[in-house]
Amino acid sequence: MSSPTLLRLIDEAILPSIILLVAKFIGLVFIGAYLQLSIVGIFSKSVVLTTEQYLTLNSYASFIMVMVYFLAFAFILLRGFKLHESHISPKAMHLMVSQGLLEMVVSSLKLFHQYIIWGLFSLLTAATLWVYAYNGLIFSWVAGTAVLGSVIFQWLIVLDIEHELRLSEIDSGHHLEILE
Amino acid sequence: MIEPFRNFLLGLVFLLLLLLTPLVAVGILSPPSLPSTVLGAVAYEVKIDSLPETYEYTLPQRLTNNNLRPASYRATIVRVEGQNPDQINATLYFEDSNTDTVRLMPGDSATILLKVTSATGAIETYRILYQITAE
Repeated sequence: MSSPTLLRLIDEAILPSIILLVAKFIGLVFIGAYLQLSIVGIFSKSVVLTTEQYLTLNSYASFIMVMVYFLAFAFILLRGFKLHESHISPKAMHLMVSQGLLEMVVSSLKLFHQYIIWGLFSLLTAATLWVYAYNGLIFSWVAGTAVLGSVIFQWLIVLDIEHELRLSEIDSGHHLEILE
Repeated sequence: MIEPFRNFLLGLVFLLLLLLTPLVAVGILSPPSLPSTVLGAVAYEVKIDSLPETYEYTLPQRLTNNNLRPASYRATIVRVEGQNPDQINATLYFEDSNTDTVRLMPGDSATILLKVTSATGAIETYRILYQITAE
């Protein structure tokens, strides 16, 4: 039996991995079709493209990938801010119960593992895109968008964690008052 | 004791592999390869008593325009022809980099410097053959 934390991290890492790969692949297919490019092979040097075509295709497909990833990340954060079991509002809780969506309410344990993985993935994606942009393999605005988005998401994660810490401090203070 | 540790290591490796996904996803489409191209051997005649030390060489537009990523160019001496070729020390280097290689962006031009020194000191004429390679 492996470490429960590790298993949970692996579990949480599968979805963002799939999202990144599928979004990039779909982006390549759609942009390739839109630009009427004939792509012979991927993961190889046999791609029949001029450098300009490659740059356009790779940039826009990566942009789609980043946007899809950020959309999913925003959903995770929205759950963290609004449907976190530690501070969900009674109104939201009532709505979730009445709509049969109680599974949408997320525990701190699950949420913080998700934050680690999704945050790490966004940083790695932004860093990789930055390296590609530096080498002229992708438009720099795509890398810039990824870096900016990633930084904003990290900031939102920190905000939520700090909010959670304040709540736990208030809770522990309340306990002390009762004990006194 | 060993089995939990082994499982932990396996899990760690698996997690690290998953963390490589962004690199794989971004690099899913390989850039078009630009094969190492010899742009041609160039013969340059030098006279020991009046050495021209610089030689302007502008890279072909075909390569500089089609290659949006930075490309490496290398200038190498192929052969020295003349009366005492062993006495001739010829070196090439790009003005910007002070080495025999340079990385250029589209539209850039490069100046190759040719430096020749002779141990004989006599007035002799040599042919310096060099080539430019692009990668």
